Amino acid sequence: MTKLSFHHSDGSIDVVETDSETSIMRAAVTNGVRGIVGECGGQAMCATCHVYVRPEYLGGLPGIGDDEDEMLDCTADPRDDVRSRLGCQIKLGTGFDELEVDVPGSQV
Amino acid sequence: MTIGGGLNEPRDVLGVAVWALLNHPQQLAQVVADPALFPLTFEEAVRWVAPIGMYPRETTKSTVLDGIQLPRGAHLGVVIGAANRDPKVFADPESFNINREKKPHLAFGGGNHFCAGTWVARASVAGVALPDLFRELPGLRLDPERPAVDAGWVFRGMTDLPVTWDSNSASQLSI
Ligand code: HEM
Ligand code: FES
Repeated sequence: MTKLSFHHSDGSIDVVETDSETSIMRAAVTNGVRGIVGECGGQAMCATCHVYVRPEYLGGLPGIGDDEDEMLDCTADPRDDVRSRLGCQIKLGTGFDELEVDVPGSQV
Repeated sequence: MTIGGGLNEPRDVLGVAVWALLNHPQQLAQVVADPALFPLTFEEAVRWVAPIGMYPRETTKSTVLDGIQLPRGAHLGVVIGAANRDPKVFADPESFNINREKKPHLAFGGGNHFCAGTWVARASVAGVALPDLFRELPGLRLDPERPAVDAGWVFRGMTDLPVTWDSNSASQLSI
């Protein structure tokens, strides 16, 4: 079971708990989390699944691939050199069982 | 697809964006004063007139889509031209308005076949063609004698866009 917390800029939090080994983007979209769009369906081609990972959770994440790195330069809200990730490139069930992210104000 | 997509759709969005701006002098003044608004102009142009208005799909299994039962093997036409003007999503959807609330649109499709050329199109049309055109052709305006024509359904764009501009400037082009 993975617990994901999506913090919105208005202070509200969406919590998603799932057994599925899907991506953060897919978990968010399937559960109707606002502010995660996922236009390209998870191919690292649209940058509309951008999240800022809270620092205390950065350690458990897989590294940033070349495609993700390039696409992170195209985010609607500014890239954070340390915390920005594409939600579609992080699979659940890989090295963490809890994750908290801040959802950017805009994705398009 | 790469060749067709590389040429037709960027051409169509360019024509539509020029036509829309020339018909909306206030928005034109806004982007000429602030070229950083060309990307917004581009996104609004592809939303307003999706260069690919419809693409085909076939269901691989029976499913229910928005309450409609679809059998396996059904042939579907996905009309993104209509989706991009959905009044439940976009306020005043029929208007071209670069200042509208930013929302995701479907002009590049969605999911596995999301347009592979999205960023090429954004860079070439919003980053190069549109700013260059309005810089190089001062006083660009619609020809009052001959109406512009937009046409097409599956592929939609300008089939006729007669324009004039002031030639007594330093940067003359011969076309
Ligand atoms: C404003 C310009 C463009 C628009 C509106 C557009 C629109 C689209 C749409 C709606 C699709 C999805 C079709 C489907 O799902 O059946 C698509 C796919 C595609 N586009 Fe574009 N396109 C544009 C520019 C380009 C450019 C410049 C290129 C290449 C340099 C390109 C290459 C492709 C390719 C290769 C696919 C197939 C992707 C796949 O099936 O995985 N497009 N485009
Ligand atoms: S869903 Fe498109 S980049 Fe993640």
